[in-house]
Amino acid sequence: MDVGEFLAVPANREAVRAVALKALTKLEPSGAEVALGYLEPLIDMAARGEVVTMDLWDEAGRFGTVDLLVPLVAPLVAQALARAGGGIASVTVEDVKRMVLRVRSPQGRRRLREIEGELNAAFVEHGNGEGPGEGLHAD
Amino acid sequence: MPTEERNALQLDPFAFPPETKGRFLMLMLAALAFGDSLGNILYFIVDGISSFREVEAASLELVRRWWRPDPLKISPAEMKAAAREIAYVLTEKFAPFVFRLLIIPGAVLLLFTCLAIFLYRHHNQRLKRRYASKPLTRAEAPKVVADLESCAASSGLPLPKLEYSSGLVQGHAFGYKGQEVLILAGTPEVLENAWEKSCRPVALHELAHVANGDARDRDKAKALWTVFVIFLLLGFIGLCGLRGFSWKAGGLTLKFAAMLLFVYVIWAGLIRIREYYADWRAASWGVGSQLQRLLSLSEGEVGLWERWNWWWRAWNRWGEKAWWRLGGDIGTWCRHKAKRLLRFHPSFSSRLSMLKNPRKLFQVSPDLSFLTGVLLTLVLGGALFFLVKLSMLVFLVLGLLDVALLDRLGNLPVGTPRNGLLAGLNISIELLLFLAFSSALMGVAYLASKTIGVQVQRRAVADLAGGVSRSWGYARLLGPAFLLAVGMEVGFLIAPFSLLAPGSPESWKALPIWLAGSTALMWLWLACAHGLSRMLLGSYVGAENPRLRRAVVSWASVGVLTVLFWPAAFARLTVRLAPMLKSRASLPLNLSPQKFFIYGFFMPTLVLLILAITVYILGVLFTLAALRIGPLHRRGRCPTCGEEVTYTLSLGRNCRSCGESLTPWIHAKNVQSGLEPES
Repeated sequence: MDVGEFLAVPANREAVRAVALKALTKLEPSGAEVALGYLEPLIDMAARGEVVTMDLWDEAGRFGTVDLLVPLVAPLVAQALARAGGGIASVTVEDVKRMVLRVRSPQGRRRLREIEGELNAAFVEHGNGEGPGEGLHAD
Repeated sequence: MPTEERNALQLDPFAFPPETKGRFLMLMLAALAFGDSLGNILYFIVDGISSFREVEAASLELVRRWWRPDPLKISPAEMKAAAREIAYVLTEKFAPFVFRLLIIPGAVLLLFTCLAIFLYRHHNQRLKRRYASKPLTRAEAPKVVADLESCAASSGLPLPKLEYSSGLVQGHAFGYKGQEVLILAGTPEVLENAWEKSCRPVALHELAHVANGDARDRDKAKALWTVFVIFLLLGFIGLCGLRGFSWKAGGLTLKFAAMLLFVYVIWAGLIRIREYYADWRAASWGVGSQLQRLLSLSEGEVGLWERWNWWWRAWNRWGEKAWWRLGGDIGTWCRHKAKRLLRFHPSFSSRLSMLKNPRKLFQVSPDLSFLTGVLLTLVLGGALFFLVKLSMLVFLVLGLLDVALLDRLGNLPVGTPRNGLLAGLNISIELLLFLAFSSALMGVAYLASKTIGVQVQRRAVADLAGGVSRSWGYARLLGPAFLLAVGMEVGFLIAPFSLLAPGSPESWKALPIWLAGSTALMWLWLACAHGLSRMLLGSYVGAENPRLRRAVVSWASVGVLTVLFWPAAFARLTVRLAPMLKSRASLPLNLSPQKFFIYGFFMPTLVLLILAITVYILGVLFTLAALRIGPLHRRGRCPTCGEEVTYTLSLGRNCRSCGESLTPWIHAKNVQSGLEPES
């Protein structure tokens, strides 16, 4: 299913939100609270097929290098759930790599396998109804 | 004095101007000075070194005529003849050289400055292009724009032009006065949604850079050094093209490379320190806890090449290969090693700890002492040619004045009135030369007092607030004094065209003595700044910043350092010129080189040393007496309850009557209360 159509359903959005948060809590526990503020707009962007490209170059005068995984995880989860339709979603290392390349996430590049593992675990957990907002709704 | 009597309030880093301002100024001056030096090279290429030798001979001739062994015995006719001879040498040999030496490098310096201004004025467009940023309008992000408008208005700043670009939790403030730009990372909807939690603290941190004036200093210094590198490369290519590569040119290139590396390290270090100040300013605007949360996140590790598309494409293609991983590991190892010196941001943990306790901003760190020493001599090394040219101009003007006056005195008969006027003329000319020399030293002293001098003032105040013992406060200035002296020596060594670098076996042998003497003089200066700050700022009671007292400490510190620089400068010239003078056959007054060295350099150094120490001791005694009669004697009143204060040094103490701080000017407001306690 197309990601835009998939995310047009509020319950699916909620599912993306729940799975992404679950994975992010495991992957970067300290950043989960900050990531929460970015999830909604990132899901909106995923619905339009857009991503945020990270720009972490250490340049004089910038804030510093906060390398969050949320711009990588949110569209990945949305894509995987949309692709799975009603079944249990999953991602491969290649999927993560493709998204890392789009988002240009340095942390993502270093933790390809870990991200793949945590996302798949979150999908399984979610599919088994172990998290909030479980179950997918395809119109 | 027991420590428990002191209050535990946090010190305000903005109570004093940051020393980084002074170091940025030094960086800019050093770039300009070396730009002028490149112009001098062009002059010598155009005019040849032979004309310089001719002028050297003419200068010695002038000095010889000036320093007559029996000036009072010469007849009116001889005086008129002397005036004519001096006039001839000055106008025919000296003046054309001085004017050419001023015009050719002056034109290069003008071009250099114009190009730097052009780069500086256009860096806004360059950065906006690099980010591909778009204007952030009120319609797209009403909450963000309204909040930033009110923040800027409440801190008295014009709102910078707001733009947004790709990325998250990032921002960049830049631009010249009146044309500041604030780029925030994220789309308008991302910014609106995550404003309170993560975008606002980032935006206010960047706005703090604008309020602190960092962006301007940073980008001005960058523009000047970029132009310097462009000129240097063009000059090097041109020189190699004209004369072919030589090992001498290679050695000079290495020297330039070492200097540029030092400049880069200093520049990056300054930018890192400015981050602490920006965090503090933002925290004082009420985002301390949000900043604290952001700085608790894990810090991103960005490789050197990850900025460019081609790198990511290469990673996609070969990222799984063993050779790529090995290269990556080596790159990461190198990056970690170099990061401490070259990165533009302090680590998050360091920023977090500085936000909670800014005590480090009140210390004299070893790198500050050492790098200030390096910078001082880089400025001096670069500016020395410029100063030599200015001295030549002063010499020319004074010489022509001398000619005119000698010609008039030649009309008077030999006798007491004429001799009195002649002696007065010679003394006035020497005094004017001495004043010109002192004003150059005063400039260097001003730069030193704007950097390490300010930091010593800060430390004296922090010591007093923290109850550090008086003797330990003075004793531990020996470390910074030594590092300052070593830094100055390193600066002399790496500064290209440095006339004052140790260049002969004799000068290398004299190095330990020089370092010991220089350390002692620097310690005397730092101790004076420390003591004066302790007494003058420590005895102040009030809520308003004691700007006048701070100015007194700063200018007294400039004066003391200028006086202490007299013997140091002469000693340096003595060490440098001793081997050169050995080869001179004709010297003024027909003295042997050894005698000329003793009377011309060694004795003045000794006399100046005695004079400097005497002025120092008398100055300290006079200041102590004045302080005892004035600020230390008068008792202030508590700014809260108006009760008379019983302490001599009230800094960091609370009023015995109302329990409030007697010196609110030094304490930070609205920051610590906004921070979450350490878990």
